[in-house]
Amino acid sequence: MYTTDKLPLDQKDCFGKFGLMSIPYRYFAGLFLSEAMIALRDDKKILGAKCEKCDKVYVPPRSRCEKDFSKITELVEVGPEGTVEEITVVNYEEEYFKKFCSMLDPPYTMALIKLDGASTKLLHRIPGDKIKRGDRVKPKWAADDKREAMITDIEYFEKV
Amino acid sequence: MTKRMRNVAISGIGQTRHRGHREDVNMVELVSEAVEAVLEDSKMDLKDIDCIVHGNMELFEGVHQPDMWHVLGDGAYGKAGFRITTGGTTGATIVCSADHLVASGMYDSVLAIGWEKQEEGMTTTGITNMADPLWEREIQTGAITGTHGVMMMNKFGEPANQAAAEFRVLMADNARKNYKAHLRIEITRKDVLASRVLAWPLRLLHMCPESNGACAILFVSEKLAKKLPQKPVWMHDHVTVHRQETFDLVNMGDLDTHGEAARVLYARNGILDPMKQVGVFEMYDPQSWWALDWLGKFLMLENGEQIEMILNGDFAIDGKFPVNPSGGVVSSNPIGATAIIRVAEAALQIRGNAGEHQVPKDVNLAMSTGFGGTFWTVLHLLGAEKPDK
Repeated sequence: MYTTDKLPLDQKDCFGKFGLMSIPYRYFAGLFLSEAMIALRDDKKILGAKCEKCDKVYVPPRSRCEKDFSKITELVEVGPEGTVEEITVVNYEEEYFKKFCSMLDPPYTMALIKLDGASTKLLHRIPGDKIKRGDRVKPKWAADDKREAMITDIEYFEKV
Repeated sequence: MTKRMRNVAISGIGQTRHRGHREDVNMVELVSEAVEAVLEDSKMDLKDIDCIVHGNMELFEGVHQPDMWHVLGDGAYGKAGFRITTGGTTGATIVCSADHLVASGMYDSVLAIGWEKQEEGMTTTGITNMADPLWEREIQTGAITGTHGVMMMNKFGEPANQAAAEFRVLMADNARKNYKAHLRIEITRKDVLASRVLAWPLRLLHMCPESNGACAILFVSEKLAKKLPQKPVWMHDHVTVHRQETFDLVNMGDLDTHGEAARVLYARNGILDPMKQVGVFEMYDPQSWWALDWLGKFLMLENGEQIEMILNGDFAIDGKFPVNPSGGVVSSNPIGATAIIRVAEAALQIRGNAGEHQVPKDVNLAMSTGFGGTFWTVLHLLGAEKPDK
């Protein structure tokens, strides 16, 4: 009988190979959505995509309305403040996340935040474990020379 | 003839223009282009499509479950859906699946989508993972191999070398007529033979490119096909022949899955002389040396007759037996889309509206193939007439 933290790998007859799979990638946002990423970096603005047909404002923005397949061509500013809708509190550190992603020190809160003017929820994080659903939050922007047109240009959200 | 619950028709075809660079769109937007094109071609309302079958290469863009993500832009919202990923044959297997789903009576309309945005990933990362971690992964080289070329050179000598190069030139000539093709280059046999050696006798110009592109085909029931404006192209049959995954069991030099697929397909459909009975052949040709060998396998030519046929121009658009009027895989290779493009191009030839690369004759039957990273074959037979006629 063995458990996952006591695999019998010290037994010399059970040979195992340990590898690391690396998957290099480049991801292109597309011309339309590039505008929203550049707005984060240059203007500290959060843009959503508004479907003309159903008035839904997608944040993160996208160029097609998933429901009616209509092409979306309008970006509108949303937030920056929003309301916390769903939460989970993170109490552990994960080795690989820490190595490859930016991470807050635990405990911190992962939250789905509905920004003012948006129809959908944005995933982000909030320091600490005292956040409740319905709390009003605002973005904490990364310094001007640290922003690189990524969602991490908002370091985290914090209570208003 | 295989048993069909009911007939299945292709009533819409949509493709992107396949390109080496598509930084202007993201993956979802690329797929949207093909979906938009197939809706335009078929005049089908998206809300009347029952099911989406979606596929690309495992691990290539580093995205987990792209079929789910792409609901953002492929029209699958609220519909049934499947993801298919079978290596290089992905696009061909998507077609098998869509054919089954309509033939069985389960759905009246199925949209099959194959796509790849190869500039976003690292092809070799995906491919190396097919190899056994203990015995093969550290040694194999991904997609590039000269084994078929060596075999053909050993068997036929210099004429094989000339024919492989000449077939590459023919593909370039055809691709220049197909505005959706990626490499529309003007080359001579001399250019091919002077290009850099990758793995002798395989040279750079023999090898397919890495492309970005998507292709979507609408499969419908006979009843629905009658209501749609495009001339229906009927699914007749398809055969998949697998080999074991590990290299030691695959006969790399003399691949036997193609010949076996052809034997089964011909026997089931009363094809005694494929070059007489089939009007056009869209063959998955990842490199021209493979093409040279595989033409022989699919067409049952046992003594390398394809070499002379290539040098005679018999496989040209206006030749005796047109092969890859589209320019083939050596001209465009968005891998997850590549094999479904073969089916789309074969269907366009039957419809008679392929454009500048249309073969100048009525095509009654067309064949197309897919070839997988794990050495297997999918072979399709399509027809202008219903299979039970």
